[in-house]
Amino acid sequence: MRRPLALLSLLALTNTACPGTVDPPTDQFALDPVPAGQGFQYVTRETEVPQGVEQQDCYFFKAGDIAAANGMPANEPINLHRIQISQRDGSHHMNIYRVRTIVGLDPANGEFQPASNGSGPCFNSANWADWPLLANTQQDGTIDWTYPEGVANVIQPDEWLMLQSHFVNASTQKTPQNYGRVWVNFWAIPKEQVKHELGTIFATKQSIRVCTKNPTPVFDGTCNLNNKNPVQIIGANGHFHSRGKQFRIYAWDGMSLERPPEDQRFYTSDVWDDPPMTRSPELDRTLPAGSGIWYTCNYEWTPPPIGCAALDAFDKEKYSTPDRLLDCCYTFGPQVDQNEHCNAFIYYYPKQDDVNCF
Amino acid sequence: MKSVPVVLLSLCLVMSCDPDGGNPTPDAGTRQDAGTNQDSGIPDSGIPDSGTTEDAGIPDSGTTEDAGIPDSGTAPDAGTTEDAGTPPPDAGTTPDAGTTPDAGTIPNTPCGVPYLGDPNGALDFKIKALGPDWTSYPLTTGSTLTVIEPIQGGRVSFVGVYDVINIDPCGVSILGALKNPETGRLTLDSRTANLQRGPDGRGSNIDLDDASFSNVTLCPNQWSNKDIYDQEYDLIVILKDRLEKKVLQKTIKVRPACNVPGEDAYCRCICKAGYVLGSPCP
Repeated sequence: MRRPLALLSLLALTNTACPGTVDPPTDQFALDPVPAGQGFQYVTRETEVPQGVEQQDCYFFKAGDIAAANGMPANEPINLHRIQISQRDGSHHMNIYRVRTIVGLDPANGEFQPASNGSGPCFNSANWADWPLLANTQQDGTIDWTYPEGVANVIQPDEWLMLQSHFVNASTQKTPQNYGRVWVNFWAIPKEQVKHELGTIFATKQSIRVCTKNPTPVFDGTCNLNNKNPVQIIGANGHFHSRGKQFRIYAWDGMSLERPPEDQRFYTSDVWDDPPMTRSPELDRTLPAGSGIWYTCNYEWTPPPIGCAALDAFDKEKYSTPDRLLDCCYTFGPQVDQNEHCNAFIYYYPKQDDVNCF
Repeated sequence: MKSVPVVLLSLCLVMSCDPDGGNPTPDAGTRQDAGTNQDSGIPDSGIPDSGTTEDAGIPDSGTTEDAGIPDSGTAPDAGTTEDAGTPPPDAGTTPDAGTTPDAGTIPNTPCGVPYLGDPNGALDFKIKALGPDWTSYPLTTGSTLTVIEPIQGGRVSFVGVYDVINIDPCGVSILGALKNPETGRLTLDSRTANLQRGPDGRGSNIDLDDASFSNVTLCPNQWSNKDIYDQEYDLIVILKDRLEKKVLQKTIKVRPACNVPGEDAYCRCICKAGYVLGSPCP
């Protein structure tokens, strides 16, 4: 059966509020649409985020369909050269991935696949383990990033994308308007202007635990680029939750066992809830051939807002941790009040491959 | 180096030398003294850790783990006696535990697990890894190293330590790296963890706590120019105490394997040389 893909995609552009809810507020965060023929805009639904709720929604769309609907050449790649992202306050993160192996998240299950409070496939990172990163932000408000001249992130017209939007209205983070929404403008350049393709690196530390008896753990990881020629790093940001104290990313030679020296550090974040997005033109770091990145997350345990009993219950249920090892631990996961991450997002060119380090 | 009756020394430590009376049960609810932890959040000055340069000045009897001494093949966890029945290791691989300390010189530890051995003795450990059934087994030169799908996706090997002696078990840093010996390129994971203490007074990771193992990132294979599986790699393990005063590095040759039943086809696909992220896999 032929799926009305264009219709599904266009539905994403409509201003549809959930039935029976309060009228949405006026949008100071809304972006003007991209003019016809220059790219396209994607807008998420108005998603309600009541007090005490973490809402993480996955949206699926085919970029080519939306682009063609906005006057872009049909069946041709979209050469993304500038990205604007605007989010209501309360956004914890917004990531866009290229859909690849289908595990538990499937575009066939609908354009809009919501999830709340840690439950649902949109919360399970194993579902997008081999989905390359396209774009991300963790900052409130608007970012507007134009890549260096001739650099484009090439999206194929038949490529499915997933936009994942996480809003939090809990103890450590609030959604003051009780409704989340994201606007993304994709600005393209003609193929004749493309000199370098943009690539991405997404790296995540497995099995994070921050416990009372190991309250200041440090996690280090590496990610190789396998690049035969030098590349330029032009964007970076790191992600953890409120136990995170410092996130550092370094240029790494791909061979040493020691954390690189400080003159190789190109990204630092000391804030978890509005981490900086370091990007070009300020960031333009050369990585030699055969190198990669080294990233480090420092944590400090703090008493959980939801209480140790809740943390232990989650630890037991999710990770089958026996009673004798329960230690009021924050474990790996997506929920801000009870889980932690150590995720690095890197943008570079020329593309060797999109890289995921799990 | 004088051989030391390690079993006797361990018994001494458990029975009379441990200020905590040998009770390994952590005090529920006590918070570790933040000032004694390895990293209190102060940024790393960038000075390389002394002794972490591979095999340089490290108090190690060598870099080859248990060379020529096969173990019994049992999977050790806290409480089991390693290598029951095997001949005692030669003097070159048994660390000199040093002088028998009196009760006043065993330092307190902040995590509720008593000090492992003698603060004046040389650090030593053996290497293990989680197998296809998520229980650990010893690793020696030539061992198979299981490639496992962790809960967050991708593929890792869970590399840990056991028979750890002469170290504060709290907040140790355990680094595991898999290195392509032909190119020198490697992948690594390092993390802070607490070791658990067995009845023999030696420390180890516990199988049920895979977060305390080094989760060595292996696949998607976008780092090695050869397959991850069925090829020879160097496995490097570096153990450091939380104050970084004791450091030991060991290296053994291993052969990673996609040997988890039911997952081998997918594992072989994403761990193959030249894998492109998102390529279809069975």
